[in-house]
Amino acid sequence: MLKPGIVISNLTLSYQRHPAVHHLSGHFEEGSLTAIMGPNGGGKSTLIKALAGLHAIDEGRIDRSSTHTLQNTAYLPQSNKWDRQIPLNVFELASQALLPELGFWKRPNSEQTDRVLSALEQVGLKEEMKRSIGSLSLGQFQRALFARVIVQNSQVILLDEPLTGLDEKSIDSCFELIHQWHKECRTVVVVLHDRHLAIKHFPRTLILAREAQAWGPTSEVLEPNLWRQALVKKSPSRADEECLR
Amino acid sequence: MSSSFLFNFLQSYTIFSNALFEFDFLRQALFINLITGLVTAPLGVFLVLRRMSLMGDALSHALLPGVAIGYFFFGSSVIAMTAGGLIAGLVVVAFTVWAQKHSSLKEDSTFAAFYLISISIGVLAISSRGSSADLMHILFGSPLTASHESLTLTSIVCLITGFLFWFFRRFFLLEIFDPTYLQSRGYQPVLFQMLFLILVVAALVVSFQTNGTLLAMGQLLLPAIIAQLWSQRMNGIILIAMVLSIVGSVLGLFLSFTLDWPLGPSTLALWGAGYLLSLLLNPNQGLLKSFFPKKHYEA
Repeated sequence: MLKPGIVISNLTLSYQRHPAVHHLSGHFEEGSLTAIMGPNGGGKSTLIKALAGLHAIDEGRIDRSSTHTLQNTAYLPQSNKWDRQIPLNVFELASQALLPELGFWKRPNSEQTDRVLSALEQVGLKEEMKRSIGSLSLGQFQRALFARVIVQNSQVILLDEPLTGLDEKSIDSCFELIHQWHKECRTVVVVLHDRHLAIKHFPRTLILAREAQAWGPTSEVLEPNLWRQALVKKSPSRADEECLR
Repeated sequence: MSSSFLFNFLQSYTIFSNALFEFDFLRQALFINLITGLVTAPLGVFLVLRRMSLMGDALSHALLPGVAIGYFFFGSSVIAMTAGGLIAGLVVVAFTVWAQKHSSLKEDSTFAAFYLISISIGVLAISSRGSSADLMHILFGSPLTASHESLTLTSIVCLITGFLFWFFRRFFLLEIFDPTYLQSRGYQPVLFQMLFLILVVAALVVSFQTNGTLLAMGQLLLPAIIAQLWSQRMNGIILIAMVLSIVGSVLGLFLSFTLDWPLGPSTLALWGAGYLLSLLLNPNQGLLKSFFPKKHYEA
């Protein structure tokens, strides 16, 4: 039996008192790889923000084991919000992860520079490290952000829809990294929308529609019936029914 | 025609350089411009990157009542006016951050409301005590305000502001680019936002002495905007902005002295011309580039 890394008990998260996540209980095991799926507005992003310590908890609690502290957590938000006009190059973007180590005025030493370079090599952007982020394609930019996560070197890795808008090749290279992290026994939680990707890549899945509709091994959870129930429960309009058929 | 222009120019240059030796205030105004340019340029660059150009403008108007109240009680004492401007600016920053948190109003509407109120209070305060010439000096700046004490004051404020900016620059940049990330690493982005605005107020306060409160923002924004047209690298942008800021304000002083124009608008007109030229000539998107298209990189 694996040790639970993050334990969620009776957790409620809300926006102006409207609950987005309602009385959720369960846990993420240490070293597990979990997909969070569910309808829009089902609270996936809110939950992952709370796991990253970025959303106030209304009720209940999140307990973290000694290896899964907030300091040891890396969070990558949805990728549509960045202002890529800011004059930064790929190397500088990946180096941002060093901020707490460098503080106000230290320059990265050779060990830290090597860490950034090897992260860029892992994501296949070492050649492009001098390029400005504004000139990157969406896939390259996403990989640069993955490099920042690698440099951060955290035990817990939380990714919010990291694959949106990416082509197949970029998605594959992202999954190579995600599997690499899984092999290194890091706890990885990913919000995504594609059922087939969840079945193909994730041992565990949480279906969240304000409450947990199902949480367990992907093969059991993503059974067609349960998935359908989750969507219907959240928004029982006729249009949705049509779509599901 | 051109030779007589050259002659006139040389003549006014000689007069200007003689005046520099002769008049303390002119020399001091020159020094103030040099120091101020070094500090206002990087702050302006970050302000533009934050997409806060117009809000910064509103902030500069918010200084007016503070300056006016200082003037109201102490006459044209630079220290009183500077302190007044500093306090008024800080009050507005505090209020804006507070209003942002406690009302559904957007940042820009809070700033707009405040600067309109500020201008009216400021103009009322000046007109109840001074003449319209005083109003013109405060709104549009004058080298006559430069003095030994204002030079000292400016140096101190610039030194502190410049140091704080340099010290916190990584955090300011990350706060602009990705505040969520900053927060996820355990820092409070709003603290850096507030500190940054406070530094902008300080820069405005030193800039208003020569450029006037109405145009103080020009010294921060215009060089920064021009620099962004010429470089894509952070250090390059800041360096170009610094050079432009200093060169522009020195030339502006010369123009203002020679032609007897108000100082602030003279300097800003120069930067304005620089901006228009840069729009046409810059190597990245300028008009000139379309005549000499460069081939794309090989894939």
